[in-house]
Amino acid sequence: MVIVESAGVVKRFGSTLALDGVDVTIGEGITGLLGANGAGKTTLLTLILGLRERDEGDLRVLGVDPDSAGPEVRQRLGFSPEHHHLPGDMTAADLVAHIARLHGLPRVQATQRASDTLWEVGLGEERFRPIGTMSTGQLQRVKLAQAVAHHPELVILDEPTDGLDPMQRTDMLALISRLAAEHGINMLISSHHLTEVERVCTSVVMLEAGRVARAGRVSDLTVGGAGLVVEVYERAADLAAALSGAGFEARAEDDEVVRVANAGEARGAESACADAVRDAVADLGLGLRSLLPEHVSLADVFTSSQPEGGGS
Amino acid sequence: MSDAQAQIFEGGFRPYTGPRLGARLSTRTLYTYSLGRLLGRKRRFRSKLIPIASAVVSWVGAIGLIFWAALFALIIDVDFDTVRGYYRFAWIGIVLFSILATPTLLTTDRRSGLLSLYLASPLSRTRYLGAQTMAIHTLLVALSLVPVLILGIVYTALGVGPGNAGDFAIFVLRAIAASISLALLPTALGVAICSAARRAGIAMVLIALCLLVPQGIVNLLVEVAGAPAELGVLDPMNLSWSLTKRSFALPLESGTGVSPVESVATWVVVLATLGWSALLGGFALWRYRRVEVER
Repeated sequence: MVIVESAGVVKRFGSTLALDGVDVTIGEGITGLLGANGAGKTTLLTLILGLRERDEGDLRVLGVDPDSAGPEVRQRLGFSPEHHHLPGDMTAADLVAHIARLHGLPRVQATQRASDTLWEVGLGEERFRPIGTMSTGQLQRVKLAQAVAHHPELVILDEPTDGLDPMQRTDMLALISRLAAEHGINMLISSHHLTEVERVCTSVVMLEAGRVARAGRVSDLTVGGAGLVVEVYERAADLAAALSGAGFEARAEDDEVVRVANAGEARGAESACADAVRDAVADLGLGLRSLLPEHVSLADVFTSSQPEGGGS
Repeated sequence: MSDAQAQIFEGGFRPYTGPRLGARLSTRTLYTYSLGRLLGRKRRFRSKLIPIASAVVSWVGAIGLIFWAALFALIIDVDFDTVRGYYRFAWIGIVLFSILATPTLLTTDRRSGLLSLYLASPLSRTRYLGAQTMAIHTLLVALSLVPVLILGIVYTALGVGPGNAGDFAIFVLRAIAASISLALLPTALGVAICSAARRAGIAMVLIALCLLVPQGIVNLLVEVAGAPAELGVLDPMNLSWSLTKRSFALPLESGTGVSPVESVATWVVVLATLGWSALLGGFALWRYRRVEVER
């Protein structure tokens, strides 16, 4: 099922072109929205929420045009903002129930679901505490709870791990993954933390200067294409020399790891490279520990999609 | 209960498949929630002080008048015009509430981040502003209407009020019109100022200045500089008060020191009040359309 689909979406603010023909399709699961400051992430999110009207192009969120049916779209969405400003004198339970009511849930169901959701995010014991007395980690959970309590079809999370320590980040990411996997809630995460996006997202959309620079499944973007990584038990330099002699660009990183480029774009090239590694290892009588496609991190993909001096 | 009847109800977070009641419910939810917030419901005690003080100012006079009537109605003549003049008391409560309570609702929503959550819900900006404006106006109307209606009922019961059901109905209708008139401009002014000011303190000062300062300037211009009396429509406080008097059939005043708007034709007063309200409401809406949803 397609959650968000855009074609040639343009948004201008005066003379500033915030989105310059965005073509993107976001499917089910967890999708990361990446981009440097000013790349157009916030503008795209406000268009998805139906809070601004696009100037050109076509945009469908859950099959509906948010420009003409903003309230209908927002009823099916949840939103967790980046900021931590929440009304300090409200209890978490009151806030979550109030937001669920605003999304159209009857009073009894809203109150019940607020309680259930706060238990789900680990704040069951704290649900009647004023929000003003909570830590940043608890605030992030309250924001997540109010975004999912009405069981939306798409939840937009803006920097959901901002202000958390490493342990809390891990917990929060596990929670997001669990909500998506167990309850079928689709998530769109806007984040600067590439490793986190790589860890929890199934797909990413990278924006650069108002355009989609890269988009696709994380597994497709981060694997293959660049070469092979060969791990042997010893004499990696000998293996590199043999592969170079066979016409491949090979480099020994240390005594155990050889990186072989020239796998090429075509499947045949990668296969020929792997065959050459197999033959060279056999000829030299080396012990082969692993032979894997070279892994490209999301950070590498992101950096390569940014102009010189860009990125975040 | 037999074993066959026993059931285990699943608890915890689970998919919601019930009804979703749409933007109309969202607006009503925000309206009732804002009424509660303005009254300090589920908030610290200091948040309850403003509504309590406003109610005390507005209602204490009414309680006094009820005792007065109850004690002396059978001995001496108690004039029902006392009830009509009661709006002077209520006006003080309305001014107090407008200055102190309106900013705590609107500017706090922006500073506390609630506005971004509201705008990400089915509420549109127009619906948000409409619900908040109605909540403020409802309480301002209640501040003057409730004591006046109670007074009207008590005086009628003591035989010094409207003589028959028709007169009493007219009294009620006039009281409603007068209370709505009295609360209209303070509501619009408060909402407009709060749409522009981010801090509650600044909004409070600006509302106070806009309600209280024009009176002296307009009087000076008309009485000393000889400006036309129609300039009185620039004084929101006396404009509201004058419209209330006309709605409630109170006698208008004239002479030195009296607001020039008292001598202006009723249709001009009505048009000016509606015009100011539309202008201030339009400004607030324009401001809220430009508000960015905070990330």
